[in-house]
Amino acid sequence: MASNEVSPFETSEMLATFVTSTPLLRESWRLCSKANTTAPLSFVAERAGGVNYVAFSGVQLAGGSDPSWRNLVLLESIGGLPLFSARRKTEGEEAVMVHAEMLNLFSSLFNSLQNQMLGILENTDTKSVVITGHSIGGAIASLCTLWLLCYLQSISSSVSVMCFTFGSPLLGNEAFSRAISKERWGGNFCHVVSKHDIMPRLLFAPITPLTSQLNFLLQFWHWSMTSPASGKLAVQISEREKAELFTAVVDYLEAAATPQDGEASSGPILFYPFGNYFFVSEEGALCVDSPPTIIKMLHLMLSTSSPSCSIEDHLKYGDYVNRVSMQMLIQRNCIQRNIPDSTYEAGLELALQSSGIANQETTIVPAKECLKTARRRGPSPALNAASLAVTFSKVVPYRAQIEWYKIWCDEQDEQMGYYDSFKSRGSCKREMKVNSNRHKLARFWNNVIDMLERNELPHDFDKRAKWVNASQFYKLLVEPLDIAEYYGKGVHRIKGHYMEHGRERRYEIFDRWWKDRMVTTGEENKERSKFASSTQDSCFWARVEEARDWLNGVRSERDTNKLAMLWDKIEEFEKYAMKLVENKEVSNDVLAKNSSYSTWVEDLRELKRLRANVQRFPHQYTRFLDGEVVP
Amino acid sequence: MALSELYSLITSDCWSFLTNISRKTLRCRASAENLMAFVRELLPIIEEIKYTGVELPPPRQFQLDRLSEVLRSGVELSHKALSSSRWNVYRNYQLAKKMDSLEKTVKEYLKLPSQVHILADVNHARFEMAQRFDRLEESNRRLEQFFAGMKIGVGGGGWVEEAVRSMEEDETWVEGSSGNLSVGLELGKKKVLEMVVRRNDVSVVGICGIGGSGKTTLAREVCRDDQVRCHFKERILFLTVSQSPNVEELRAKIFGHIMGNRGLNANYAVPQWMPQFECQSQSQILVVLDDVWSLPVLEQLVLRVPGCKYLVVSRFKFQRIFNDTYDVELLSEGDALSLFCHHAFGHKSIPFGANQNLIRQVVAECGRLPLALKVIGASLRDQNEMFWLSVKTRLSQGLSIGESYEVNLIDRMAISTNYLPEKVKECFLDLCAFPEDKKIPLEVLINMWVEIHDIDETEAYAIVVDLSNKNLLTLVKEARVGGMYSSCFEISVTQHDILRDLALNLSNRGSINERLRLVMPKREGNGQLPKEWLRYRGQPLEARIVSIHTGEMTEGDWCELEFPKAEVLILNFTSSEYFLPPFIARMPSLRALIVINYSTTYAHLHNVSVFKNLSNLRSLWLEKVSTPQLSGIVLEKLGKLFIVLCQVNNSLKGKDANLAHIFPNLSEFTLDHCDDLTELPSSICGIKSLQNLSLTNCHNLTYLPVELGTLESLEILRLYACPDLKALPSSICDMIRLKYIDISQCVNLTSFPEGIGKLVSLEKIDMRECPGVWSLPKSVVSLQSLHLVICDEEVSWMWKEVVQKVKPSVDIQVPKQCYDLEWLHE
Repeated sequence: MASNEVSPFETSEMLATFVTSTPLLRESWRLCSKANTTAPLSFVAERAGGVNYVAFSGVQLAGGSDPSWRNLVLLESIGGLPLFSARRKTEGEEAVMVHAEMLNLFSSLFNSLQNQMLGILENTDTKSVVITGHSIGGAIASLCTLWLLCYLQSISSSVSVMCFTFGSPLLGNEAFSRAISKERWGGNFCHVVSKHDIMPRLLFAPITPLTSQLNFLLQFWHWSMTSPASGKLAVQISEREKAELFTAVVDYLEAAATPQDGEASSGPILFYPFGNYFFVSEEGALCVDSPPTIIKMLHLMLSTSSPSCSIEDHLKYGDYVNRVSMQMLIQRNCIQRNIPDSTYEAGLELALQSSGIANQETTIVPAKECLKTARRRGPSPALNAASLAVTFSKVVPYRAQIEWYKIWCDEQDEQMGYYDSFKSRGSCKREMKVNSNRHKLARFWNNVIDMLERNELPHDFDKRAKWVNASQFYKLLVEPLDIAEYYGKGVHRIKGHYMEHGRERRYEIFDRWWKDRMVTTGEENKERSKFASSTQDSCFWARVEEARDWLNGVRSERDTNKLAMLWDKIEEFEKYAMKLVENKEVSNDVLAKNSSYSTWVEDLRELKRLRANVQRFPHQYTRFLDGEVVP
Repeated sequence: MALSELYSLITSDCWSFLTNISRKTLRCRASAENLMAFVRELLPIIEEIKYTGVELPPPRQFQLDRLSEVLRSGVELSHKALSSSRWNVYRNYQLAKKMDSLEKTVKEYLKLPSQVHILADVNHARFEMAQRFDRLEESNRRLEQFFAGMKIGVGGGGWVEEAVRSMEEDETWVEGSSGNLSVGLELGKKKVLEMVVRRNDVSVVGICGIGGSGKTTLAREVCRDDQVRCHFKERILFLTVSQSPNVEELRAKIFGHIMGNRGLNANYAVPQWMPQFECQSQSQILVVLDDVWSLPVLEQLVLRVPGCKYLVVSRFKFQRIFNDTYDVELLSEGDALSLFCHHAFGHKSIPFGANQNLIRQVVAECGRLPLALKVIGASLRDQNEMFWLSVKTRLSQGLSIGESYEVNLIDRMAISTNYLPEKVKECFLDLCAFPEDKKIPLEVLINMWVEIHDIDETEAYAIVVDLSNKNLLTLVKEARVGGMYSSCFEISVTQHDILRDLALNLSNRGSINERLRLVMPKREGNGQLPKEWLRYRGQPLEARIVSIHTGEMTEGDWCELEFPKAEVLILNFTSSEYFLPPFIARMPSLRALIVINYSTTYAHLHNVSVFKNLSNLRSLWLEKVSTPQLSGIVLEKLGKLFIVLCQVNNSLKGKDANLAHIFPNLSEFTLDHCDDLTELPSSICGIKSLQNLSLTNCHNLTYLPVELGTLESLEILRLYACPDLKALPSSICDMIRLKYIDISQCVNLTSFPEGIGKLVSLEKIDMRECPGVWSLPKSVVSLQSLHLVICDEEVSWMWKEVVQKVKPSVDIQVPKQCYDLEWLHE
């Protein structure tokens, strides 16, 4: 192992112990069971210890409409909010999909849920929200959390959200899991899964032939949830059927857990775990976040179980939760003779013990291997961030060179500003050098974003002033060049305008970083006494280009309705631009004599004069003619 | 001195008391007044003796002591006179008498013995004087000897004269400009001081620069600097070596200086080896060798003695000897103007009412070179504007403007070339074929020399380096240049205007039809051919190198010129349309054609069909033009093709443009800065003779032909700065002769092809700034010839881990990145 790797501790057990030491788990379960008994088909909300809890009942009408129980639907927006919006779909990437039934259930609850949530959020005391649910309720809780995260992101709120599910079935496909981890929301989900519970493992197997049994089973669980006694009233499934179901799940799970199974029997796994899995057993708990490890552990734990046990375990979360909450108070001894020397090995031993499979000889070795692989590879995020700063220092000069180029353009006789100089560049080594710098910078920042999404950087990386400011600075300076390249090469004629179709994802992400940054007081409201060093709206030039397009449209358009619309747009942009200029939020180059903006303003004035003459509309637009502020 | 203090005490006391007495007693009044006047006379003389501070011989000392005693008794007397009452007449009388006698004694002393003293003093002075004159004479004789020695060393040329002359010139320059030019010198002085005084690791410091750039002035300033003088405790020797020095004598002088000036005559033979003598933990010594011309001389003069530093002033860079070099920089524009104005008007700035623009243009022609500013400035003094105008025009064409210009500037500059071997000198003269103030890519230059002087490339390169070391041209290297196989593109050559004028001046001797180089020094005002050329219409001209600099040319603008012997044709122009000269068709021996457009837009070439007749063309350079359609043309012998900053326009593609047919014997193909090249045509793979393929700075190059690997003779592949290139075709692994691959700054390249290990001849890989390449194919371990990898720090560990474990001989370099702003002002 290289010396720069993360500290050699086994974290899964420690993490789990940490979670159990908080009241979150217990409170969540308490509310879950309350929801199960009192609010079937719905949810309950409660506030306890400064935390808002929302629990979804596990008693939900599922499977009624869909006999196959394995339908996936595209998930592009949730609760009206576009999901994973900053992720423009690249070619060949799998679409994000979730379980159709669960989404249906969520949608049916959404209106009342939204009201409830907005109510909670309106309260200024609200610092954190815990969303929880048992069984199918857990899946709905996950969707609800997703929506809430999305919503909070859109309003840049700092309320923290946590989702605890108990025995929740799988929810989405692999792309879904990946998207969550790219957004770095994985940590907001904690799926509590008991050692033998079959429910969370059910969707690994194609259970179409077993639908009837499944429905009976669901019914049994529902009845049992509402009141433990009434479970007995439900239609019992025969032992044989239980065993069939059990073996099917174990087999498919084994196939899923075996790496590189190839095309063989099962085909690709439709459903994939996401977020953290919190395995509980009588002996303790452990917390794992890498999907392959989760699948493997799901398999190993279930394989030590029995059919009936696997069904009953779904209802035993209360016991488990109580047990592990106490567990941290118990001093544990290593059951093995000798405690291993390394802390890592010792931790591993403890984790195995907590998983409750330590006494099964057949599973102990693979379980150990699998926990080992869960360990993070490569240098720690902090180290990555540090070395990234070094790399950054090597690309900063490229940006500085572009700045010099900008200044140089301002000084030239052409008075074009750097946007137009770059856009209309002929064959000149100078512009080619700038272009090559542009490429290098883009490459660097794309790499930063990739690393961030692979979770190779610290979780608060996008909040660190250094990076937020650097990215903002980069964006303000270089995005105009990207726009220039886009329009200069005529890509807009093929793909459409830059803002909608050509903007690189990194700029949208940087926008978000900048929006979410911590603003020190007084920083925002200072009035500018001179023009900004770079235009504060990095898309300003794209807007100019669009406005120019409208202006050209006005010249050729005959349809009066469309014409009026175009004029509206033009007017709107004009106002916007004037405001920027008045506030001195543009840099000098915008106002250079021959810049695109200046020529646009000139054209507009000309056109208005023409229009005023021809159409005899002398009064409506005079204020624009007089009100120009271009120096 | 105690004695003199005593005097002063006594006399001043005396004076005050006596005044009192004279006021008090009437009786003694007369004698007291006498005494008073007497002491008043005495006082300044005694003061004078007191301030000379010379030790006196004992007898005189004694006499003076006695005098002081007498004076002291005078003080006592006056005390008594003070104390006695007005009515004690007798006592007063007595006192007056005593005072009289006192006066008498003093007078007597001064009358006689002091006269004798004076005589003695005069005699003394005479004797000493005679001694001193003797000494003076002796030193005079020594001086004469010295001069005689110098005359022995004259050897026909009179180097002393020359040294004196140049020294005078420099002197006057410094005198004239020390006020306003201190800024220009300050920086250089500081840097040299740094090397001479502060750094202990250098013992020989060079001050280099082209002729007339103020090297000697700088050296003198350094010697004059207080800091230097303190540091070396005035032990500074300034020697002018000159072109034909008496080396033995100079050596002796240096040696004597080092030994501390102890009795050495001119004939003292300096031991060939320096004994490790301990110069009493010596103070530092500085030896300045001015005007050094040859390496053997310098080698003999530099005695490696600890504590002795050398400052060598030369036009040449003797890299073997110099530990460090300061290259004299040219003046800043402001300084240049003030120096010029000083010589032209006697003011430090442009006088009121003068033609500012004209003056600035003339100054610009001098190229910020102090000597040129001085000579040209002086020759324009008190001349009228018409004369100025003609001078400006002549200068801009590299023509002489008068005798002073020739003798003082051109001839002086030409001394440098006298030392060149014939071939190198010819090469130097060839440089005038390129327009002024432009960077000349090394490739162009070397190709031209290779073709015209029948030398090979390595020799040509050696000549470039040689000329650069002699400060006859300047090598401009890009920061990333490195070692073998690095493209000559990264190096270019510039030349100072005055040197170019020199080259022009030297090659333009003789009539036009006889010149070997027919060069248009610059674009004519109307952008056409020079009128004098047109006189030779229809006559065969001798020129081997023809350089033409015009504006837009149409068919009618060319005339019937005949260059049957032309081997190199350089076409410079500034326009967007260009009709290739029809006389190209009648240049049967043309071997190198260089077409360079200096405007900002691409130029369309017309009359491309003349290429059909160029059966001997070996090298073709096209810059900033729209690449013409070459279908139907076969350039049988063309070996090197450079397409730089061009618009490719798909001219390389299409079924008509089969590159293999057009250039059957191409060995080197370069596409640089071709912005619209998106795809390399696959017909290039048919050129089996291709050895060197460079696709550099092609920002839109996205695809390489899949079958690129069929270029089996390829040895060098440069894909530098092609940011859109995402992958290398896997077939390149079949290029078994490939020695060097450069993929640096291909920022979006993600990997090497898997089979790269098959490149058995690959010696060097350059992959700087390829942040996408994060892994190496396993086969890299089988790259058996690999010995150098240049990469970024981030990936260097990867190479170390994979390759160095297997082959420790592989060198993995992480170059330091350099950033500059040169590109902004090109």
